[in-house]
Amino acid sequence: MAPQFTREWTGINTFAPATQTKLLELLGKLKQENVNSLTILVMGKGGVGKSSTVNSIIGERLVSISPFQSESPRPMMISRSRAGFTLNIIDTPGLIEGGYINDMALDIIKRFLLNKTIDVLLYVDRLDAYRVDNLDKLIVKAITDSFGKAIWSKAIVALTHAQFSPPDGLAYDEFFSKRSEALLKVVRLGARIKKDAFQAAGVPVVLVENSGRCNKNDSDEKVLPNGIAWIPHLVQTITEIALNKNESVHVDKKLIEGPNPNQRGKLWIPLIFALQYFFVMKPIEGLIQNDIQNESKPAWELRDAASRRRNRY
Amino acid sequence: MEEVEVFQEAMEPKDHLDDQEVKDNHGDAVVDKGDDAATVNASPLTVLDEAPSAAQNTDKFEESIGVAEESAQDNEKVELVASDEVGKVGQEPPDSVHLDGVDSGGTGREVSCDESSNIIDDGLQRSELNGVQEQSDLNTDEETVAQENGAMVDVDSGLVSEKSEDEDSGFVTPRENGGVIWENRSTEKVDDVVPEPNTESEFNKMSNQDFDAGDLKESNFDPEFRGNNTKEQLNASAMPYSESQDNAGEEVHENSALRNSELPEEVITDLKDNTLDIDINNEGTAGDEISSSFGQSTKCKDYNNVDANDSKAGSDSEDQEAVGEIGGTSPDIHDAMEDRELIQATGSSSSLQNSTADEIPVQITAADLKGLKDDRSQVSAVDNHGDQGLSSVAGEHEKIQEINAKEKETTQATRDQNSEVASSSGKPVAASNPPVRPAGLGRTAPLLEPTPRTVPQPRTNGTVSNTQSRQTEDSSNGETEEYDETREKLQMIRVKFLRLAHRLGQTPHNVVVAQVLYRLGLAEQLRGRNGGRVGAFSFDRASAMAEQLEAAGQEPLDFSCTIMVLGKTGDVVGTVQGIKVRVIDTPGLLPSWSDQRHNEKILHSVKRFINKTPPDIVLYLDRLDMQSRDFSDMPLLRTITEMFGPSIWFNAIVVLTHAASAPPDGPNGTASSYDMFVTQRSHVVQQAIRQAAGDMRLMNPVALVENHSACRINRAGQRVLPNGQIWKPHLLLLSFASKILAEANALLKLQDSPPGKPYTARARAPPLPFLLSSLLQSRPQLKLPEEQFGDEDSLDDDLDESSDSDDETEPDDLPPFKRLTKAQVGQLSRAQKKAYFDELEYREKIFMKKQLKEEKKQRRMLKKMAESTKELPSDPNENVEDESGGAASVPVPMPDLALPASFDSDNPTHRYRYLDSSNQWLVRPVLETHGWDHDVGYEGLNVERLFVLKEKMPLSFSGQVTKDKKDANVQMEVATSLKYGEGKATSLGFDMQTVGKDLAYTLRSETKFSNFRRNMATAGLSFSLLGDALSAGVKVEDKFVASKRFKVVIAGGAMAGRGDVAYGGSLEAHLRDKDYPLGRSLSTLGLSVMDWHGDLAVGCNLQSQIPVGRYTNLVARANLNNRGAGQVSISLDNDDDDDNVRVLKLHDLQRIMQEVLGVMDCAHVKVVGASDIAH
Repeated sequence: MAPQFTREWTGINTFAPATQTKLLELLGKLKQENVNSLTILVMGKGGVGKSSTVNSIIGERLVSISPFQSESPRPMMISRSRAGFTLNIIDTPGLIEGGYINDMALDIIKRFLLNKTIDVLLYVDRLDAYRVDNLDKLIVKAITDSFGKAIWSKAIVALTHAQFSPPDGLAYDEFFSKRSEALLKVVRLGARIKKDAFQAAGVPVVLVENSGRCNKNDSDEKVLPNGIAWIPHLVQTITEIALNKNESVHVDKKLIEGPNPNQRGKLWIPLIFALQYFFVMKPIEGLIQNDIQNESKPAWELRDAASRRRNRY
Repeated sequence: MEEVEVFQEAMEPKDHLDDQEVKDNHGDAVVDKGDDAATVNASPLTVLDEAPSAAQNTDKFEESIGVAEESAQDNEKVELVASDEVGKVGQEPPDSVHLDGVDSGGTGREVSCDESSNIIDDGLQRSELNGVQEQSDLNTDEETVAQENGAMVDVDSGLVSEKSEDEDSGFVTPRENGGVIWENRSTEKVDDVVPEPNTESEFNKMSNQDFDAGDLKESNFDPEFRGNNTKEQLNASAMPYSESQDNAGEEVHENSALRNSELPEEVITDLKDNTLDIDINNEGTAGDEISSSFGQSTKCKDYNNVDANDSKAGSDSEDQEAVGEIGGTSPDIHDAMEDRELIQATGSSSSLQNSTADEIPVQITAADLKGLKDDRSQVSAVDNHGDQGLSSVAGEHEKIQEINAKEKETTQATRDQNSEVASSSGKPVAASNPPVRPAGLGRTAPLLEPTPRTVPQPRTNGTVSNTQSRQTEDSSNGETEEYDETREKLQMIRVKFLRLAHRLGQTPHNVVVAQVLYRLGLAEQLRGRNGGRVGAFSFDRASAMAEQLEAAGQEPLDFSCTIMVLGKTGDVVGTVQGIKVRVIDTPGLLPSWSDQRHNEKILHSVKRFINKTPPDIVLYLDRLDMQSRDFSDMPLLRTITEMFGPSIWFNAIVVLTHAASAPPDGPNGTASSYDMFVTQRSHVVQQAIRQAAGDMRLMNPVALVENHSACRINRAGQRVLPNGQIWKPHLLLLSFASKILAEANALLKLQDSPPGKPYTARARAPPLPFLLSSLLQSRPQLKLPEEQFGDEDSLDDDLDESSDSDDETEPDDLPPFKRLTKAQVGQLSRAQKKAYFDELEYREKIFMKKQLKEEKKQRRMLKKMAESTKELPSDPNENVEDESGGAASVPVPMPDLALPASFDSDNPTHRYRYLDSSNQWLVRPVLETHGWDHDVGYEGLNVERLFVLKEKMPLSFSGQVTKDKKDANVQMEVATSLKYGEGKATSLGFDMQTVGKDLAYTLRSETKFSNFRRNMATAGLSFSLLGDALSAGVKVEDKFVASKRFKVVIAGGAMAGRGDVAYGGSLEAHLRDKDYPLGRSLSTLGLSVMDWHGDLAVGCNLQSQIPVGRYTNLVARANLNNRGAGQVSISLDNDDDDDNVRVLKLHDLQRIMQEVLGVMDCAHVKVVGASDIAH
C-alpha cells in the first residue's frame, strides 16, 4: 500500500530542536525494527481537536481547521516521509451528528480505509469534559463494529485541551487519571471487551494540547501542565503501540462488510434436515398410514372400488 | 459661525413642511434619481460601512429640505438645486453602500457586508449599487484613505483600535466595548457641540481642506463600535467632497462638487454631527434575510430646530410607510433629539453589533415599533422642548439592537432633559452628567444583548399600526384614572428594578438596565393611550425614589426570583446571593438520542417540582468551550421542548459556562478574539434553541459564567471574565430584568401568558368574533324525517295556508296544449313565437303551482297520519324498515358532482364516483372547486346520518374531514332538538372543528318559541373550548315574517372569554318574488356589527336577483365594511330553454374601494366569459 503521493516530512523542522531529536530517535527505533511505514487512524467526536492533533504531529497546517464550522465529511490521508520512513496519518470527520452516529460518515471512512493497514488508532477526546455519556460509547461501538475488537489493542486515547486547570479542589493528575479511567471504561464497555483482556491490552492515554497558547519549556517544546513535552511523548507512545506484538489491523472487504449472512450456519443444514426427516416426516407418514387403514369408507365408495376392480379384470 | 446661523435659518421653516413634500421627495428619490444620485451619495458613503449609511442619507435629506426652504426664501437657486439633489440622493440608496467599503477597501477582506448587500431587494437600488461601486473605483485614488477606513470597519471585530479621539473637538472616547461608554461620550459631545457649534464646523472645514493621513489616524475604527466611528466616518465622508472639489471635472463628482462649492459648510457639519444608522441584516425565519435599516438622525442645534424636527417627525410617520413600500427599504428615521450625540452614541452601541447582527432578531414586531414611533413623534410634537421624535420603519424582524438604541435614547434623553429643566433656561445646556461607567461591565454587554421578554404581539401590518397611532392621537388628551393606577404600579416596578440594579451594583446606564427601563416605558406608552410625557418624568421619579429607598437601606425589597437551571451534565452553577433568589438545580441531562429516556424521566420529575413552584427564569447551561457544531445537543433540546412546551424558551437565558476558557485557534493558526468566540458560540446555541423550539424569532439572551476557582478576581473579590465583565451581577440582572418585564407585561396585560402558569402553551385570546358569528348564525331546527318535506319553516306553512284557498286556474281546465319541437318553433314567426313562449310559460307556472299545492296537501295529510300513528303502539323496528325501504336497496352511482369551472380537459372528477346505498350513513366526498387546475378536487369526506331517538327526537350527526397538503381539518356536528308544545322547541348541539391548530369544541343550545303567529323568538347559549380558553356566549334572535314575501331575522349576542367580551349583532332581510316560489326574483340584505376590543366592525352585504327577460337573471352582489373595503359584482345568468344551458358570466366587475366613498377608481374590470355546453 504505497501512498499515492508522499511528500518529504518538512514539518518536522518546525519543531523545537529537542523535539526533533527525540522524534528522529524514535523513527530510527522504528526503522531498526524494520518498520518503514506507520499508519495512524485518528477518530473521535466532532470538534474535539482531531485535525488539530494531526496538524500538531505533522508540524504543518495541513488540515484546515475552523472552530465553528463543521469539517467536510471526508477522511483525509496525509503521508510524509523522512529518511526512508513514511508516516501516514488518516484524519477522519466527526462521527456524531444530531446525537446519532453518522453512519454515512462511518461508511465513507471504512471505504476510504479499504486495503490499508492501521498500525495505530488514535482515539481523540477532550480532557476538559467532565463526564462521559452514551455518545462516547456509541462511537467506540461503531469503531469496534467497523474494525473489530483487535483495533483496541492498537489504540491510544488522546485527550486534547490538556492545558487546563481542573475544577475546584482537584489536582491535575488526579483529574487526568479520573478522566482517563472514565474514558477507558467507556471504551471497554463500548468495545465489549472483557475486563481482563482490556487491561492486558493496556490502552495508553496521552495528553495533547494543540492550542498556540500551549506553554513551552526552556527548550521551546510544548509542554503540558505536568511538565511533559507532549509531542515526543505522543510519538513515543505511538511507536510503542506500533511495535507491540499485536497484529496491525488490515482493513479488507471482509472486515468492512462483515461476515456474509448467507454463510452463517450452513453447517447445520444437513443435521437439521436429518432431524426433520427422522423426527417429523417419519412420524407423520406413520400417522397417515394408520389413518388410512382405520378409515371407514362409505358404502358407495366400497361399491365403486369393487366395480373398478371388476372392470379391471 | 455665520454659516451655522444660516443653517439654523434653514432649519426653522421646516415645520412648515407637510407630508406631501416629504413624500414627494421620497418619491423622487426612489423613482427618478438615477446613477447620478447614487454616485453623489457614494462618495461620502464609501467610507461608511453598512451601519451609518442610511442615516447619513436621511440626514442629508433633511438638510436638503432645510436648505431648500432657505433657498426658497433667499432665492439662491444653486443651492436649491444642490440640495434637491442631495435630498434625493439622501433618500435613495440607503442600503447600497456597504459593498464599497469592502470591495475597494485597502485590506479588502470580505465580511458579512456582502450578505447585507444581497438583501437589497429592489433592482433599482442594486443598479445604483453598481453605480456606487464604479464610482468608488474611480475615486479609489483619492479616497484610498477613506476607503481604508471603511474597510477597517468592516474587517473584523478582533481589531480594536485604541483611539478614535477627535483632538479638535476634544472628545474623549473611552475605547472599550459596550454601549455604556457611549453615554459618557455623548454627554461630552453635547458639551462641545451645543454651546459652540462653531468649533465643529471649523473643524470640519479643516478636515475638508487638509485631508490627509492625519485625519485617518483620528478615525481608527473599532469595528465593534461602529458608533465610535460615526463621527470619524463622517469626517471621512466629508473628505470626498473636498476632493471632488479638486476633481470637479469628473462627472461623477459633479453633484457633490456643486454642492460643495455652493453649500456652506453646515452640510458637512451636520453630516458629521448627526448621522447614524444601523443597517442590519437579519436572519429571519427560514434563513430569509430581511434587511431593516434603521436610521436616526438628529438635527437640532437648538430648540427652534427641535421644533422643526418634531413637527417633521410627526408628519413623516405616515409617509415612511409609503416609502418603505416603494423603496423596499426603510430609510427614514428622524430623530429630533436635543443631544443628537446621544443618539449617535446609542445608535453606535447598537450598530456595533453588526458583527453579531444575525444573532439578535427582535421578537418585537414591527407594529410595536411603529406604535412606538408614532407615540414618539407625538411626544415630540407636544413637547416644545422636544426630547425625542423617533420613528422607524422596519421589516418584520427588527433588531434588538435597535431597541437598545432606542432605549438608550429614551433614558438618555430623559436624563438630559432633566438637566435642562433644572437649568430652566431656554438654552441648551451641556448635559454634563459625569459618566459613571460600571467597571468592566460595558464590554460584553452588547454581545449579550439580552432580549427582554417578548411582547407577544400578533404580527400586524401597517394598517394596524396606523390605527394604533390614530388611536393614540385621538385619546391623547384623555387620561383615565385607571390608567393612572396602572402607571403607578408600573412606576413601582420601575423603582423595584432600579433598586435591584442598584443592589447589583449597576447604574441605570448599564445597557441591560437601560433597555429594561426603555421597554417599560415603551410598554407604558403602548398601553397607556397617552404616550409622551411618561417616559421623561417617571424615570426621574423612579430613579430618585429608588436611590432614596436604597439609601435608607431598610425598606425590604419585595422581589423574589425563581431560577431554574437546565442543561447538560457537567455544568456547575455558582452560588447566588443577594436578593431573594431561589435556584432550582436540576440533574444533568444527556445529549444523545439513546439517553433521552433518561432525560425524560429527569424532566418529568422537574416538571412535577416546578408545578408547585414555577420558575420565573430558566437558565439553559452549556459550555462556552465546547464546540458542538454537529447538532449533538439537538435531541436534548427537543426533549426539553417536548416536555415543557416551546414556551419554556421564551423565558430562557442561555448561560455559557467556562467562560474564562481561551478561544480556540482560528483557521490561520492565530487565536481568535474572545468576543468573536463568545459570539460564535452564542450563535450556535441560540440557533439550536431556535430550531428546537421551532420559533425562528426566538432570541435568548446569553450570559457568561465562570465558576472556576482560578477565575480572575477583581479587587472586590468578584469574578471577572476575560472581557472584563463581572458575570454574576450581570447574570442576575438579566434574570431580574426578564422577571421584571414579565411582571410589567402581566400588569399591562400585553397579551402575555398569565404569571401563574408560565409554561403552559402560550395563552391566546380566543377568537371571539369568530365564535360569536357562528353563534349568531341562525340555524334551522332539526326535524324528524317525516317532517322534513320542505326546508321551509312551519311558520311559512301556516302563512301559505291562507293563500291556498285562492281559486286558481287548474291546468286541466285549459285547452290542450302541445309542446312544439325545436324545428317547429323555428318555423314560427316572431309574433307567434312570442305568443307560444308566453303560453308555455304560463302553463308551466300553473303546472308548477298545481304540483306545489298537491305536495302541500300530501304533506298535511302525512302530518296528520304521523300524529295518528304516534298514538298507536308501533313496532320499534317499523321505523327502521321504513327508512331502509326509502333509500335505494341496491347501491346506485350518485350523479357526478358539478365540474369545476375549468377550461382544461383533464379534469379528473369523473374518476371519483360514489354510490348511494341503502346504508343510513350518507358518505360523500368533499370537492374543492376552487382548487388548482389539474388537481383532484377531492379533499375530504363528509359523513352524515340522521338518527331518531325515541321516535320523537331527531339526532343528526355530520362530520367532515378534509386534508390538503398543508393542514387537516376536522369538523363534526351533533345536533338534536326537542319539540314540546306548539311552536316551542329546544335544540342542543355539539360542534367540534379545527380552528388554526387547535380543536374548538362548542356546546350550544337554543330555544325557539313562536310567541306570535308571525314572529319567532330564539334565545341561545353556547360554550366553546378552544385550546385552554373557555368562552361563553348568549344570543337572542327574532324572526319576523311580515308576509309571504318579506322576512327579517335580527340577532344579537355577546361572547366572553378570557376577560374579553365581543358584542355582535346581525340583521338579515329577505324579499321574495310576488309569486314565490315560482318567481325568481329575490333580494337579500345582510348587516352585521361586531364590537371587539373597542374595534367596531360593520359589514353589509346586499344580494339581488332580478329576472331580466324570460330566461335571464341578473344577479348583483355588493358588500362593504366600515374599513372601506368592499366588492361589487354583477353577473348575468342566462338559462335558455333550449337543451343547451349557457351560463354566460358576462361581467364581473370588481371594485375595491380604498376608502369609504373614496375615489371610485376601478381597480380592475374583469370580464369573464364562459360558455358551457351541456346536455
